[in-house]
Amino acid sequence: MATVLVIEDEWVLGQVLEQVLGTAGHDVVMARTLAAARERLRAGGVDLVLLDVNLPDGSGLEFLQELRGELGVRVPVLVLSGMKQEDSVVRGLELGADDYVTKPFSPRELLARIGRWTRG
Amino acid sequence: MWRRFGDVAFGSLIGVAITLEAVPLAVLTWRLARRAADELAVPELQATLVGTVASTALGLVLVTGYVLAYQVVSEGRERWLRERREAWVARWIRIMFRGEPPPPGPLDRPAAEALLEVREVLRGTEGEEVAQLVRRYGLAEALRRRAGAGSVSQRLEALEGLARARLPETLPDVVALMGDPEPALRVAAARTAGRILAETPPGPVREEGAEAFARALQRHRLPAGVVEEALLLVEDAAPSVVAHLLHGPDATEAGIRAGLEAVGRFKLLGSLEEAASFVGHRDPEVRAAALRALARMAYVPPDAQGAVLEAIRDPVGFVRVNACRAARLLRPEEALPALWERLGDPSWWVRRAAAEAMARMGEAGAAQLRLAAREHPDRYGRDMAAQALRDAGLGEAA
Repeated sequence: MATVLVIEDEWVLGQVLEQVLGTAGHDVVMARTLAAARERLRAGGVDLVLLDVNLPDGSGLEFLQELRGELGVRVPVLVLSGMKQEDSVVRGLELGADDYVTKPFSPRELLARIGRWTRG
Repeated sequence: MWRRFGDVAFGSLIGVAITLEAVPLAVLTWRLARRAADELAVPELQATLVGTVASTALGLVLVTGYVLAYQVVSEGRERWLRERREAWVARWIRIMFRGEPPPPGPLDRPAAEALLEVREVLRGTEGEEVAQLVRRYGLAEALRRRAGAGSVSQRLEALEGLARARLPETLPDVVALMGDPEPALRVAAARTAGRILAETPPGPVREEGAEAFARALQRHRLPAGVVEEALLLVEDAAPSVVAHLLHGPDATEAGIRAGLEAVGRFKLLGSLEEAASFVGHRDPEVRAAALRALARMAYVPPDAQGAVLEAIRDPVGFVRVNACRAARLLRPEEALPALWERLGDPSWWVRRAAAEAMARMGEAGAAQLRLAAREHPDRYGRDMAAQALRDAGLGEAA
């Protein structure tokens, strides 16, 4: 099982994600802001990042660029967004996301995607 | 948002305060008039004056006291409701994922709101389980009733609840509200219907819903922006809705435009041929939308290539702009002469679109653009070609 950093500011969604991932046996670390996420990533030990696109202190997609560039984070990143349009999905993937999950989400589908990136 | 309740009490209080001020002022005016006619003694006038000032002060104290008390009560009430809602969210999550038994009904307001909030973030198997809970507690029925009657704010709140619940069986009622006389409700109903359609599984119910939704969008003449937003919300149901918008018996130009925008944004390849058939439409905005859709999908069907070339010389400027953008998808030997001609267009926007299209047409386009920067007969065309070359990093004209 993996340590998943969930960067999400919506309280209800955060609670549901924490429960879904926790029930599946993952260790869940919550970050409500990009600043908190940066701090947690510097501490290390994160196997996968679940990243919301709109956060109170900045854009998740810009943070993704920072993750792959400045912070040198190589762990899989799954972008969580309400935007299902092809352009948004493509932009996220081009910026270094490994996968894309749309809101509202299916817990089974999310766990399957996370499993794909954390196996082995 | 702090005055979500207490409107009646506040209105009554203002009435009392104004009466407290207006009546003594009237008495004072009457007495001043009598004094002016020497019918009233000075002490009686002074007493009236003091009474008026005291009455005004009392009115102000009442209003200020109410506003301050309201703020305190309102904040406390909001906090209490939020905490109760959060506790219920945690409880619903335990019910969903840890098998805790659901509570007996009926649900109070925080419990119902929390259930709808959990429903809002979930889809798939778990999402359907939450939807069953929403049905079981009769929330959908209650929201449907509240959306149909009452104050505008209550009806909007009920529509928001229905949008969160996203239950297919509520779609007909919501679509009917798209024709409500209140404009804010029509807009909210269109958004809600879009979100419900997105959650409706493929099949006859979704098809019927898509048709009714498309018909309502056109019949009730919602603003173009609202229609486009609603179409973005329908997600996988978009092809069905778009098909009805483009070819339904009630098809309007605004609806066709919105449908064409959705074709481009969602890259609905199945609707590509249909979109192309509107390039020659009588309405210039429809022609422009069709060309924009083709450009977004990066493909012009062979049957539509002639129409796109023709549209490059359209009498309407913004149609020419979109035609130039779509023309980059045609064969260079056909598109480049027409784009060269547009570099001399009187409109800056058309010249710019033509130059950018050429810059995106590979080596043939770049070579033609370099030639245009040196030899185009129109000096503005030469400038635009040179500018586009620089912007695209294709070097200088020479």
